[in-house]
Amino acid sequence: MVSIKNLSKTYKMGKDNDVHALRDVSFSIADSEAIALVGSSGSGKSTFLNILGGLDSDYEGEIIVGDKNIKEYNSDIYRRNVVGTIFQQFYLIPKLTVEENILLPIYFGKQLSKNEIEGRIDYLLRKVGLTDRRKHKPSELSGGQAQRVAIARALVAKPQLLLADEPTGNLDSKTGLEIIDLLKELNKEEGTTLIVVTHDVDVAKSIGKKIMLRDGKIV
Amino acid sequence: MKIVKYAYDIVFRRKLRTFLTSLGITISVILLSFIIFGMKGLENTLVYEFTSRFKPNDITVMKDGQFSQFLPSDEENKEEVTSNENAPKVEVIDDDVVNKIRNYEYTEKVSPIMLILSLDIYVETNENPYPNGNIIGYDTKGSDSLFVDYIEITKDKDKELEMGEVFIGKTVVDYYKLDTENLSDLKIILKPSRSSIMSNPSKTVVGKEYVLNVVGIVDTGQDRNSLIMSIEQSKAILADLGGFATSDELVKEIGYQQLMVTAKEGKVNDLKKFIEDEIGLTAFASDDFLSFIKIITDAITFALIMFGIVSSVVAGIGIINTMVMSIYEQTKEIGIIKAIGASNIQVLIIFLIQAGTIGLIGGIMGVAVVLAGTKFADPYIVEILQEQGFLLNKFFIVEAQTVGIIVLSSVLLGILAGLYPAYRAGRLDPVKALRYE
Repeated sequence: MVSIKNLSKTYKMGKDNDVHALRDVSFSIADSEAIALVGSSGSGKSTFLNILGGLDSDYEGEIIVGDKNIKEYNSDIYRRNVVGTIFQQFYLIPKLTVEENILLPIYFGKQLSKNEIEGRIDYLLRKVGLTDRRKHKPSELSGGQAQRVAIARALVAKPQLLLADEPTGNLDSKTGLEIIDLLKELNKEEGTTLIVVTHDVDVAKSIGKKIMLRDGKIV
Repeated sequence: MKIVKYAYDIVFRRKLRTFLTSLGITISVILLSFIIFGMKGLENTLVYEFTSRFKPNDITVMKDGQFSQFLPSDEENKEEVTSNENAPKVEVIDDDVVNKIRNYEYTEKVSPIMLILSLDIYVETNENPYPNGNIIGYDTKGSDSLFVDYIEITKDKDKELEMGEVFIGKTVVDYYKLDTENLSDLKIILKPSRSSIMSNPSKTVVGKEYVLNVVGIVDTGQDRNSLIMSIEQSKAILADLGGFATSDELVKEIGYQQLMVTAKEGKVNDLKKFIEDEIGLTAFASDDFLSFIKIITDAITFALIMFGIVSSVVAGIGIINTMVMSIYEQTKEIGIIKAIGASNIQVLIIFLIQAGTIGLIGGIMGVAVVLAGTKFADPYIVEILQEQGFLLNKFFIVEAQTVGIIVLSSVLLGILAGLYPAYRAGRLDPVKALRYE
């Protein structure tokens, strides 16, 4: 379960100029559930994602993932093993192959045996339909394929929570919907809690449950 | 291990830049290696040169102050000088002094040495005197370890020189282009030199002439002795030149210039102490010369290494520059790897591995150049030094251990230079790094 209570974040932009990016945001999501967080530009989506993704720890309120406040985790281990993030721009490392990109989180942490790693990468490549692209570089992939690699990378360490930041933003609508379908499918299979941040109403609809964010508040 | 692989991947993305940055280290390694190996080679050459001629039991004895400029000024010697204050002062190294040393229980042998400075050497077949001729009187034979080589003319190598006989130096033979096969009747004529920095001839010596038979050719190596005669012969000539009635009178009034004293096995220091404290002469054992050589070469090495270190600093700055550039280029990537779980320490390590790798590549390239360079240059240096009379077959002595230390130091230099950039990379805020364009 992911539970967010009274989450607030204020940027201090000079002496008397406080920008409230998030104000008292509270909601919870059950395990294996998927929700869409919908909001326009400047609504506080990115701030919310940075905090939930473990990149920003300067906030007020409480976030529980599993049964632990995320502040109780070592932030590196949290990012490595508890949460997986998918970005709009894919953020693959150009010089590494598809396989190496997917395994990157394992490079930095989770101790897995060679067999476990092999099994995991085979499974993920099959799931995202890129088995034959294993040794390819990101430059040899289409946008949809690159985002599939990013999804596999986010899931490789079996996180409890998967965050997707505008995962279809750089893709055409058909490919975008395919990606959403893939995310939903994996969400069920892996039992991961999925939060998709988007401004695209169609994407939000296809996810099902949605939360609207405006000026840092849930509406 | 995975992090190492990833770090290597980053280093070799920019092959040319990595190579060029490594070149700085390479140059520094080449410079320092040649200094270290060259100076070690020089020291070994000098030590070998010395130890092959002088045995550990040999002591060179002179009058006080005659050789003091060569004394190494370490603490040990200061003490020695102080302890010598109460020792008797010897004005002349005469036969009494020689006998006192000869009769001491730890003395094996005493050989007096005379230098004749005021005569020019003429080969009977040529009118021109031999330039830079050094003439010494010293009881010796062809098989003496002082000589690198001996070519017999009429004297067996194990028989000592007698009156009227001389050995000539190989340099003299070479100078006059004499045929060594055909020298059985060669005579040497010694005549008083004209005024020079080495002599002030007096009226009494004008017109004097000494004719001696050449009985052997000696290669004196680095010693520039051109003519060697028995001590009795040299005394006779010097007595005649100086207007002394007999050789004994000469020795009594003027004395010998030096004594070559050999101690009994393991008694060098006792004998040296006896000569210095009881007799009042200055004594140099082989060890004194060796430590002197070592002090000089160490001091020069140290000074040269200071220059070498400047090049290391420049190379280090090159690495810092490259690493800072690399961080700017990879800011976004740092953001990505941090977002998926790389810790500050891991990012720091990735960049330190990069910096260390640059050092390693530079070190290996430098060592390769040094190994090839020393192999190539060695025969030429050996040839030049052999021409100068040094005994050696190999100049550069490249030890595997030193090579290992050099490569390791290059890696450490890389890591040291990479510390600040790597620290900065580790501290990058992932949110800002991901937004960086």
